[in-house]
Amino acid sequence: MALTIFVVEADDASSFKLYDYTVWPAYDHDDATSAVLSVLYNGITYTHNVLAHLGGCSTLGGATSVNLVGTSVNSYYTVLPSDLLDSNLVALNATYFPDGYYEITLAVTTTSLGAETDTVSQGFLSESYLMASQLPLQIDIDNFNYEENRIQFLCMALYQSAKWAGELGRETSFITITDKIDDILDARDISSIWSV
Amino acid sequence: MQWTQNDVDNLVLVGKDVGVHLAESICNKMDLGKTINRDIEYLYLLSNIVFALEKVTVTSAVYEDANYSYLVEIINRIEIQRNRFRGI
Repeated sequence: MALTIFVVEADDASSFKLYDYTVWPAYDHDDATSAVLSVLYNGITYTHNVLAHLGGCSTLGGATSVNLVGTSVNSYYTVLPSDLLDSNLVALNATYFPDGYYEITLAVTTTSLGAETDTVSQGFLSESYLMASQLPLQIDIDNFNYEENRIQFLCMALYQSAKWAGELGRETSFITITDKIDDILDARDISSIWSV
Repeated sequence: MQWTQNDVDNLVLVGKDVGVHLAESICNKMDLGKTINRDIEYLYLLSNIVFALEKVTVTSAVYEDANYSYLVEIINRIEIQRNRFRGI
C-alpha cells in the first residue's frame, strides 16, 4: 500500500480538491497522529495541518470512512489558498491560486502503518484557460484567417502540453510553454482576469 | 509482446514526455522565427495518440497488442524526427 493523492484545481482557481486514491488495507480504526499538506509554489513552501479537517483520518477503515478524506471513494477535501501558510504565517493568496507550477505533498502518520507520503506535481492554469476562451474566433467565412486559426488551435495544444509538463514534474518545460501561451494571449490584447 | 496495463500507462507517459519536448521545440522555433509546420503536425498526432490511450484499459479490448506496438513505433519515429529537426 502506498499513499496516493490526486489533485484537481477548481475552474475559478478559488480552491483545489484533494482526493485520496490510496488502496487502504482492511483494518479498523487506525488513528492518525499527524497529517500535513505542503505546497511548493514559486520556491516557497506553504503548509496546512489537515489532521482535524480530514473526514476519515482518525477512524480510517471504520464504519463510515473509506479513505482519509471521507465516507465515499469520491470524497475530497477542499483546500483554499488562504489555508496554506508559509513560515511567516503569510497565506499563499487570499482568494485564488495564481497560475503556475505546484508540487503538493501529503504526509500522514498512522499508529499502525507509520509514516506515508505522496507528492504530485501539477500546473494550475485556470485563469489562463479563461483568458484563452476570449481569443477572437475566425467566424468570417469569406475572409477566413487560416494562419490565425492555426495559432489559436496551437494554443490549445500548448495548454495540453503544459498540463503534461506539470504532471511529469518538468517545471522548466512548463514555464517555457506557458510563457509562449502568455505571448500569444498578450499579442491579442487579452488581459488578466483576476490576477494583477 | 503481451501488453499489460502498466505497459499502456507507461506508454501514455512516454507520449506526454515526447509531446512536452515537441511543444518546447515549437516555442523555441517561434521565438527564432523558424517554421513550425512539421512540429505542429507531430504535436497534434501525439495529442491524438495520448487521447486515444489515456482512457483505454487492456481489459476493454479496444486495442490488440499489435496496435499498441504500432503506436510505440509512431511515438519513436516522432521523437527521432524531432531530434533531426533540432539538428542533433
